[in-house]
Amino acid sequence: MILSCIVGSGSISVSDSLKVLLSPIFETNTDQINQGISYIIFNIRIPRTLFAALAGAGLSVCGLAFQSIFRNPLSDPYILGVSSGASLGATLAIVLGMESFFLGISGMSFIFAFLSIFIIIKIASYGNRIHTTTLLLAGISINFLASAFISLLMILNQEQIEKIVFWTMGSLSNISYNSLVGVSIAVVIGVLCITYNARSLNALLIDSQTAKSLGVNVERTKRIILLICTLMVALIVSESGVIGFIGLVVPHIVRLIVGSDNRKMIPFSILGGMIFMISSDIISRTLMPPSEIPVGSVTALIGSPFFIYLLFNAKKRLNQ
Amino acid sequence: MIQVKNLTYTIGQKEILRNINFQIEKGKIYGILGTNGSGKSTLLKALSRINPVKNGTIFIDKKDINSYSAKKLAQTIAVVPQQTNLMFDFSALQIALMGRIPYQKPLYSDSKEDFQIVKQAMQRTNTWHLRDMNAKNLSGGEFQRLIIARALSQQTPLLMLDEPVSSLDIRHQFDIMNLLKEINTQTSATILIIIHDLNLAMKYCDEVILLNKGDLVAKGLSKQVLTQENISTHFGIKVHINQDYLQILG
Repeated sequence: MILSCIVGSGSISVSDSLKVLLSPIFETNTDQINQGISYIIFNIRIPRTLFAALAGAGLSVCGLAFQSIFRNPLSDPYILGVSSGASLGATLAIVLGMESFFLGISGMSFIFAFLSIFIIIKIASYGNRIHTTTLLLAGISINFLASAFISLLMILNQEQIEKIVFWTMGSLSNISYNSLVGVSIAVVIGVLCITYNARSLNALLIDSQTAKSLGVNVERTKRIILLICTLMVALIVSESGVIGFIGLVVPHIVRLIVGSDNRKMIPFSILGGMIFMISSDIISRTLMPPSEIPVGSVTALIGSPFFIYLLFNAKKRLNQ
Repeated sequence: MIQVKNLTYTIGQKEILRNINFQIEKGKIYGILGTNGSGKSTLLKALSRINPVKNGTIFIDKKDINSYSAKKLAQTIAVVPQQTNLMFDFSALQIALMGRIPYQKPLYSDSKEDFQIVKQAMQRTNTWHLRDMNAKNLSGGEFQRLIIARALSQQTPLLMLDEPVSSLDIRHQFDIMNLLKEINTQTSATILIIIHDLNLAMKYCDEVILLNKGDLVAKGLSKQVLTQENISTHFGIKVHINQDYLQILG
């Protein structure tokens, strides 16, 4: 986290950054260092790093929860189209000029994210079972559909094209302290709620019939978890745009290390998500200075090959 | 223990179970028999509320099954499903420990008592030595015994098993049936088993329930229901029965 506050595309030397960062603690005299640097660090880099930590933790835990309730190791908010839905909502809010409304952008994000997951589940359910392949295909279709609508909105509203592009790529460059409030509340509540249901989610990993016979209120648990995850994803997306694959990659690696028990996985996914996200953000800022690569591209660059690797593994298992 | 009144179960337009009425007494082993598609699994899922019924009523201990909370029901009925397809890696011990979920509070970790109960259940089913193995790597018989250990950990007066021996070789079939008999005599648990093997049913079940195309066609002591005539009408095969042994003639 400290590293993340120090490095960036602005030409600030590492030693200066450190001095500014540590100044409140050691009361060092920072007069000779530019006021601008101090501003960049306290008002851009620190909130940005905090947000990266929150978003990483939130998205990872959402991925883990999605994998449990759909009993499918390939689910995550991005692949199932929830993130794209949220970003379509945000785009619409901008086009309709709802930015100034209270909860305008995040509210629209939530509605559209919720709508996407609702449609996907409707498409993929047969009776009371959810078909895995259909679920993924439906998610991918919703992903494309949302992206198509976003492109359409961009063409129709060329004057706002830059703002919209930002939502489709995922970037942490616009984060301020104001962004942190809502997201941190949502992530804290969400993580607590998922932790509270961790044992039920374990039973759901076996299958819903088993979970039912073990006294888990399956429908209610699924609904609560879906709602809370959609809320987390929508709030994160409404601040940073679509950041993909983190909910897939992090829980997978954690599962390989600590096993499938959600009670162990949650804390490690939080930690792993934070590390993955902050590192991706550092890469996005430092790889090609002075320009920034959107952090969503960085996570996708790491995540897509990983997703393909998992698909191959699943194929191998089917062939056995 | 269980009373079923006018139970009808439909999926879409199709009636899977038609106006079923019967009673289950405490402490006995019941076999549910019938050809494929006769509604056996549907009946078991209705009795365990995995598929809730809309037409008809089921009383468990004189209380309507729908008035039970999910936890309370899981403390009353344990189910061994026909198939469990594991997608994720769990150790055998972790799977068995899930049998304690109906008694556990969220956020609390597994207590010593939970471990003790699960250990006993696993020892009884001869799976304790497998506790650290990945449950995916267990053989069919071992896995079936593990799922029974999980059901035993639920410490319920009722145990329902959907074809627990169908995929096993003859040695393991007997092991499982002997185990169930032992549980039945030691804990006086009431046991319902869906079973295809008529000889095993005859040998181990106190009573059998015979289903045919959604109708309950016979219920009673195994020997009285599993007659040459009933088997020929409802299974369409000729058999010869000498005492406890049933010989298939074709």
